[in-house]
Amino acid sequence: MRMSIFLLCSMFFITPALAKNVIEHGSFSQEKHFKGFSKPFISKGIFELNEEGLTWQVQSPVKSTLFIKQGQVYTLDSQGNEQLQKGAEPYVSLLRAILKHDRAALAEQFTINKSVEPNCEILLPNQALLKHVFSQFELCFDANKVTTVRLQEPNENFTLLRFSYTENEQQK
Amino acid sequence: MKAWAITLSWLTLLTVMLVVVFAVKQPALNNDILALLPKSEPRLQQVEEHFFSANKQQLSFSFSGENNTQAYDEMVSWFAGKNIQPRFTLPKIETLAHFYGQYAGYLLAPEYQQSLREPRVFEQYYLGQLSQIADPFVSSTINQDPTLSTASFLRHVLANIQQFELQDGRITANYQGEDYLLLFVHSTNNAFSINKAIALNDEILTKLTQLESQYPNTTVHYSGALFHTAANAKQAKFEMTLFGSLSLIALFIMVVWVFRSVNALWLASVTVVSAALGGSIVLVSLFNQIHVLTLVFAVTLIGIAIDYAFHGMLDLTQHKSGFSRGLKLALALSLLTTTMGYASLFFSPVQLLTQVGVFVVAGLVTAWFSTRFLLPHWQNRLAVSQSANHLTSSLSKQLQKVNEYKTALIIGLLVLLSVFTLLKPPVVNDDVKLLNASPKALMDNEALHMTLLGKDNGQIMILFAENAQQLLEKQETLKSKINEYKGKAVMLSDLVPSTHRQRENKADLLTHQAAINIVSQMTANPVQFSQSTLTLETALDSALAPLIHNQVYINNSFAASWFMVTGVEKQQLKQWAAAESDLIVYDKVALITEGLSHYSQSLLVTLLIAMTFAVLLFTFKFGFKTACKQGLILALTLTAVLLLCSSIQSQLSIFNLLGCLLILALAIDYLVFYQINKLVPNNILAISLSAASSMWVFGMLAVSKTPAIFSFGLTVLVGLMCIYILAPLSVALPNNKEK
Repeated sequence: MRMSIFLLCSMFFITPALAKNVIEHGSFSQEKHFKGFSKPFISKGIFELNEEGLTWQVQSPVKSTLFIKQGQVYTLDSQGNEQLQKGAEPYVSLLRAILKHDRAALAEQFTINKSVEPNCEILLPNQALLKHVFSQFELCFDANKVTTVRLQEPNENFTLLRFSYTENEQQK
Repeated sequence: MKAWAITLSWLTLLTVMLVVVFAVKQPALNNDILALLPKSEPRLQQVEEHFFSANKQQLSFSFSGENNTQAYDEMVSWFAGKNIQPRFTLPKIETLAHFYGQYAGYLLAPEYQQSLREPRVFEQYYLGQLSQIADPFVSSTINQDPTLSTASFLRHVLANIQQFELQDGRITANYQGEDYLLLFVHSTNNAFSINKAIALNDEILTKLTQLESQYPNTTVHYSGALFHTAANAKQAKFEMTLFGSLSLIALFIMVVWVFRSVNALWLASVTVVSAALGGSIVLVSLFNQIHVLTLVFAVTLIGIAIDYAFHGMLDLTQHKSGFSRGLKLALALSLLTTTMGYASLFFSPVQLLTQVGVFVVAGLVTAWFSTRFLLPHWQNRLAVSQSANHLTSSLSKQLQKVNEYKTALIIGLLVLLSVFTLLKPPVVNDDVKLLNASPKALMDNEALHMTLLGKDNGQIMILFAENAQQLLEKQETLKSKINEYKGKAVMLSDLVPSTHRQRENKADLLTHQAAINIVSQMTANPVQFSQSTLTLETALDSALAPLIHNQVYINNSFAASWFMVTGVEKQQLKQWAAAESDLIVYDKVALITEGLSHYSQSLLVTLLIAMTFAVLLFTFKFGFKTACKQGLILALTLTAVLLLCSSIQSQLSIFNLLGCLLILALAIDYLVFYQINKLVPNNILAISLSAASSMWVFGMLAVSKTPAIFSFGLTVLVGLMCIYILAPLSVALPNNKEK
């Protein structure tokens, strides 16, 4: 079950690095809206896509690092050692499909509906594991890049992820 | 006509008596071998069925190779179509979260408890949890418990109890670089009737064959009691049909060839059936519970009872009016010695052997009665064929020739057996695994699945306590011990901590108010904790029940739970169990082996007692010198049988000893008849018939593929050959002067 945390992270960020074979990096902010909380809990950090995979670094309010290389998910423990999180490999193809907006591949795993928002889509997971945690994903794009993702949970809580990309040398 | 009327009346009387006794006593048939063990731990009997009965219905499959996912899914759908559901379906996280959320504050994971020590550490921990992009435990519990103590407890519980990796809801395992998908299904209870087991087994195997041809690069392994039951039942059915038919045909030909009439066959059957009915009547009268193994062991009765018929019939062909005096004496003496031998089983500490003793003694008395008083009515319908007479006359001459060299033969045999004993002493091995008749492929699959599940190095333990709370507390103490030894065990108390532990947790939480204030600041509300603790009774009546139901047993006098310990030496676990009377290292195989060993010892003692009785009686009847000779023959025969069987099989089992019991009974008969009737052709014919019939019925079992049956058959086969050759050597031939 713990895997879902890492899998979901990887779903959004690993594939571009593998598919495009280019380096991409940027920052993110994550807003967690919990029913019992007076205000959303916001965390911020940076991410980096490289040829090997992804690094996802939360910088505030606490520091934590998660990264994906060669299809495997790792975290850094308190001593800075890599800890392998097994079981993520099968999700790589799914992640690629989401980030590449590969509708054919997505249709196998999700029911895709149009969103009322322009340039956005609603993805309803078909898998039981995802269904337990999320009722739906809303993905919004700008110039083929994921700009916001809203992860809606069945219990009215939701998470809003916003990304901003830094132009990189290689793409130029 | 009179003969028929008397015989049928006799059989009817016996049948009616059996029916009446059955109706009055209504005995239960017990097939649990553990029920026969010395009752060192009576509570174990009560909990075993509850704990492990479901495992008997489990079927396990592993799919490896290129298209394992497709093959797996197809198999799941196929089972669903047959209403066979997968096992190990975890309750939904939300359901568990809601359940545990009711006890917020009382349930703490070690990681969470550790973070409470320092407010700064707790803050880091708390914010770190909230920063996770998605955490099902946080998501599902935060509305009910914003302190995240329930989330951490739930994560801890599921990480501990979930022994498998899940991929898309499929259980996976990696072994030697190969990925396996594991499927466990629960077959229905009625699948364990033999025919249904075979039918379901065949259907599954057909489906697997189809999957393997559809996905040639996929390998499917299967295991489970059902497959063993079906394989063994098929083998047993095949062997029973083949051997049964061959034995019957051979017996039929043999008896008809000797007597030139089916009447002899009928009379032999009447004697055997009478013996079986007589034995059953007394057995049912005396015991309320009859073990199925009693009937298996008691099959030796057939071999002895039919001898009475052969001796009786052949004697009747030689005399005009009833039996000869010699025959009457020999029959009585034979009955007396065999009865005394089997009667020694009455005092066995093992009830199974007591039942065997009762059955055989009663059966033999009935067979003797039937032979003695029924057979004379058929006298004028019995005659021996010329060819049989001719054959036995020449056999008689041969045996007399052999008898002349008896001293040399016996000394030679003694030397040979002594050397053999020194070079290769017999070994009795009661390991129940040696009696397993399942095909090798099935055993390999079983071993592979045990390895994939990581159970090949685990040890099941059972813990007893006076009540549920005490049980949980005892488990917590034991768990600390196991942790100290770097071992691992998933226990009931991991899912349901004791009330004592829960109160400690709550007190710990309240002590660290500074940490809790962090949560209050985030939610802008004071933190509320639950006021009630979680009890085992509540858990057993909740969404948690499917996870723990088979793990715990509670009644008015005690509570018990089982768990598997890995990473701690079995010897260490045994030491703990020895120091704590409520803790048991549960090893079913070892328990059965221990039981078999117990039976082996009892059988050995019985053999010795029977031999002693026989020699005493021989001394009384035939004199000391003859008795010594006969005793020597008995000892030589049994020694030769055990040495030869040990050499052929590498080790002896209880079934060899059981075979020896039959051989001893037959040997005593042969010795008695030889001593009274000497090497006259008629006597030799009766003994030859007896040996041949026993050989056909029991000796043929030596070609069985079932180890237990093979051992028994081999012993009887070797024993019959030995005693057939050795028994005539006990006869003192008249010297020239006497001639």
